[in-house]
Amino acid sequence: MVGIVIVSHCATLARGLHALVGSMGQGRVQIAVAAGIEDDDTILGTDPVRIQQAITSVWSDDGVLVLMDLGSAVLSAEMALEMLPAAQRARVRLCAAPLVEGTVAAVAQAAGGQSLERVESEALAALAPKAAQLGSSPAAQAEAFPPLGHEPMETMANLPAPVETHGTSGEPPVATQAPSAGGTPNPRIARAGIVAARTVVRQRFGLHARPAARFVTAAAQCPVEVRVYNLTRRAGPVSARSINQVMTLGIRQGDEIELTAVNTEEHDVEGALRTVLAALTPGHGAGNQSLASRSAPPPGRETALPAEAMRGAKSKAPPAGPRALSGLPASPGIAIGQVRRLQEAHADTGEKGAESPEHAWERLERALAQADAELSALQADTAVRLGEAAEGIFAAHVLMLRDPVLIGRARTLVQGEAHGAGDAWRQAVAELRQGWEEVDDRYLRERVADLDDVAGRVNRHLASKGPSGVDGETGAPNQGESSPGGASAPADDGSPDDGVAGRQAAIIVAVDLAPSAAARLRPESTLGVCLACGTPLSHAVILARALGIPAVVGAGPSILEVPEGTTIALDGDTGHWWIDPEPDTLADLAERRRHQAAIARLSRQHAATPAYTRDGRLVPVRANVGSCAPSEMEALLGSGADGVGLLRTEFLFLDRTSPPSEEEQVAVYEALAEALGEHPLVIRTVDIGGDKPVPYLDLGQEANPFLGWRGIRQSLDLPALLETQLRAILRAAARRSDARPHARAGRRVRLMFPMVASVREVRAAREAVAHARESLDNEGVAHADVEIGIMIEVPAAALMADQMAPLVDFFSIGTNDLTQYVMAADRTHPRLGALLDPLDPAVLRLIAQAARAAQAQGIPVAVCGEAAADPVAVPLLLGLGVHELSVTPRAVAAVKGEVRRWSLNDAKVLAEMALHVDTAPAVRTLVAGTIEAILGSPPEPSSSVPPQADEIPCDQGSPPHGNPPP
Amino acid sequence: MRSSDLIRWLERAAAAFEAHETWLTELDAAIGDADHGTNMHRGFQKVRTVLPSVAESDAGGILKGAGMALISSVGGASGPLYGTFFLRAAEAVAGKVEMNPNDIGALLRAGVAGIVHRGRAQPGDKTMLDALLPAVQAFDEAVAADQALQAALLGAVEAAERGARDTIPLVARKGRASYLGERSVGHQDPGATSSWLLLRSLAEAVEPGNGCA
Repeated sequence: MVGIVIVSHCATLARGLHALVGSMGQGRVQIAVAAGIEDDDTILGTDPVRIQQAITSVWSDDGVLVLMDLGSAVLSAEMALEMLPAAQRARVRLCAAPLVEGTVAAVAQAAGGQSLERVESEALAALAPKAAQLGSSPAAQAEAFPPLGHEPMETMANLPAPVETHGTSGEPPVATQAPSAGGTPNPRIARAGIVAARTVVRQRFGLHARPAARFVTAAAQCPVEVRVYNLTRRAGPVSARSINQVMTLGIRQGDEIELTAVNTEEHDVEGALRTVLAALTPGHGAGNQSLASRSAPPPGRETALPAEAMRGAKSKAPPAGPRALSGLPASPGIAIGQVRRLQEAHADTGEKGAESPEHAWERLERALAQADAELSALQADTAVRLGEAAEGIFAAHVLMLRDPVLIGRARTLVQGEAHGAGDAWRQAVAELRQGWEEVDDRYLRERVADLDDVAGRVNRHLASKGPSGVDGETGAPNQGESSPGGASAPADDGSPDDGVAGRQAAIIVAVDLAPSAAARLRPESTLGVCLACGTPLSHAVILARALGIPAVVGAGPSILEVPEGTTIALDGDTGHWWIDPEPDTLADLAERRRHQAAIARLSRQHAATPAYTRDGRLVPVRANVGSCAPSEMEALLGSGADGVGLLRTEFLFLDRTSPPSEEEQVAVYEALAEALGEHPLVIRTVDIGGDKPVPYLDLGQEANPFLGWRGIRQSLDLPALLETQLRAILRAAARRSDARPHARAGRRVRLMFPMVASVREVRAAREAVAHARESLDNEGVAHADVEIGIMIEVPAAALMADQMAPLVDFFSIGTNDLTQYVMAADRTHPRLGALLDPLDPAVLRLIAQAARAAQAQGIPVAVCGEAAADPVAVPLLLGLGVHELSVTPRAVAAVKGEVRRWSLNDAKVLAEMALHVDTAPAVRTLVAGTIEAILGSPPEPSSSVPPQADEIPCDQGSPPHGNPPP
Repeated sequence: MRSSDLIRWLERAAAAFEAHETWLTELDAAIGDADHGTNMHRGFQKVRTVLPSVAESDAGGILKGAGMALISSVGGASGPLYGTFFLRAAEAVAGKVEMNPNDIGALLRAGVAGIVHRGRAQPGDKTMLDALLPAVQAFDEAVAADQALQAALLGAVEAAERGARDTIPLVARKGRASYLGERSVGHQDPGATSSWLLLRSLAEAVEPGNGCA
């Protein structure tokens, strides 16, 4: 039987509570008190040592539930827990329930012989009856009411009572028969194999805590599940095993209740019901006769429980059922499935006796080159499949691999100290790794996984025997790794049999996951990912998120003890996970998963329909496009995007020896505009930094290409190149309006300049456009005016937005670069991940500033960075005043779904709060904690359905306030 | 620094909390439950009583004794917090009799990490961490710059004092004071203040008579 410990600051309070619950436990529940300090009742406080002793005093293998009041009681209890032997600690729970209510519920459950998990969950739900009684429905009460009823609560009031529905018409109702029959009412078999019994409650105060506890205890000992229904108040039915649910029925003196149970051959169901009913009898234990000797009081006439309260309490899903374990939420969604452990494997790096330095170095160089080629291919594949953020992970891997210090050290080891190739590589990596690990920096430690990944890739090539396993266990640098055989299909050939790509869909469990292993995850074979270590910012997690695979990280070592094949469940929204979840939990999670899937499906179905906020603001969600490759076009056109919000034109300029001609550009822009139909195409002029080899540009070697000669700076310095591109864009705009005479000239093709830092640049750029137009006029070439916008990605532009706004037709905020420049943190730097969160309040403030300036001028603001695809960021951006979002094509559906969840007003409230917290994690916590409070219950799928497409115009890119320039 | 200096530290701390009991309680009365001075005084009197029994121990034993005494006698949240501080600090210097500045740094870091772990507060939450974190940082920087132990500790005390003062404009986000919300603004946090006193006692213990208040 579960033991109970009461912890309080106040010895008097704790003793009083002990007395209150003592009789409920029927002398069977072990209850201990740890309250006050130093045996002096006048001193308030808690003592961890006493708490530890109290736990020990009521210890049994069934476990101990500790309930405490506040402040130091919590800290002291946590400390006491740490002082216990590990074996005991695992079966002691510190319960977050309110002290009095929680203790009452816990003792009742413990007396019924329930498991620790059950006792805890009942205690946690213990505030619900009070909330329901008082007509409030705080969100926290939600979990008290897993939907057990056959009917939704709100319709129950209109239904006849179950027995009357099923009953045989000729018989008098059992309830009237029972009291006069001189004993416990007789259960009888109703239709459909249900045994039912009714009685009128006689307890003077109804079914309050202690009688309810007796009743629940009896029900808990029943071999069959008993449900109880308050006929008088039309409340229920609920499980009679749950004190919290029974108490929500508000059973008062004179109320008629009905018990039902499914009839079975194996058990004496009627006898069981009789026993439970007997527990209701005043003077229980002395027999049933007293029931007959009393006359029935008049039935209560109080109104039923407020339906609102019941609904409110029922509507929210429980965050954690019995035995919920805690990790960190990493990738949203719910997964239920069997555990598949990643296999550990090591690469034999092919050392065969002594190796000549020349041969060793040659071998290592070859392996490095192979790994390099592989990573570049993986980078390209990831870019197409998973978007820019994911691509950046492998771009960083390439940089690690090419690190001259690392390679130099390996070379010294080979040539100077006669190490073998594998040996030298391992040692060089280990030295670098050790340096990283010694620094007390979480983000650097996270990057150790990346280093291991890269190192393993080289090891595999050194081994030259083909692929071996992904090491998900130790993260040791000598792990084997696999990767794509070719550029186009990284997951196909040459992948190790490490469990990442298993045949049966399962939940992948590992200590941590290397990014290249994560890149091979496939949603069809991976239901979820649960990592013992890892953090929500790790690259593996970013990849899981991009793939839409639910993930929990930081689950702790206990996940590793779960045997392969065991069913686990995880909730990537809350970080909770369950081993062998109980049927209730499973049903609940499955329900939520079904709900989420329905929403996702609806999002996909309605991806192509415009997204409106709940209060009716149209938010165009467009796509970012970086090439006209068939795969990218396919992704774009299938995404449902409301046009292209950012066409990066660099692809036209790279990998060639001369710049693209005007005709070539016109052809590309036209083709793309044509493919988009009525939707707009925002073309950004070329932005090539010094990190890209472009022979005809003579970019030179720049020490810092991100801060270098690029974007509009470069374009203004190369007027011929700029004019060619501008003419091509103006011409494409004209063709477009030719094709559709009703469309306003240039309305659909828009022009945008990158890397704007100064108003002078904007003026010069406008002059260049005017000049291009003039030259086209002079030549008599057809062209059209286009809207001209600028990227807000340099902090100077955001700060000067009020001066910029009158000069342009729209802003588009590039959050990736804006974040990098505001935080002065190189996006590719492996150590700076923590600084690069676009939700940093510093970044949000600049976005707010730019949006205010745009609003004052009446021009629209878009966001075209990765932040727009972050579900957390969507409400913030809308609330800050952003009108349009532009994201990687595969995120369009989800972002539209997110837009539809919010009203602009709620988003504004959230954004206003976010501007006043201190850090990016605080912003994320705020949003996570506020979403439910603001949005209430999760959206019903039906509410996600947008208006019919034919009722609304395809594009209303302009804000409702202000008039966008023509 | 020798382990016997730790005994002197704890004695000085007991004296400091005796002397400043009323002040700390007054600070706590403004935003808490008016018992911090009483609790700290009671706790360190208990520490004082156990000191003779651990006087011959190594550094770890002395600090562990202090930690155990505190958790059982302080009563309020500062009991488990300071208790954890000393227990974790004890682990960092277990077995040592002679400690160099790096050892003291490890002691302080481990102790403060314990408080972070126990209280889960963030810098700026108006808690003892607002004094302790800058102090540890100042100490580490001073040691890295090859300053002597005494100078490094004085730097830490200065940073702690500044940190404690800087809690005045903050809104409390942990403990009883957090129930006050905005009304906690304008008051110095008693926990940050006692942390500063604790560190000042340590600096004094290294060079007796050299007060630095």
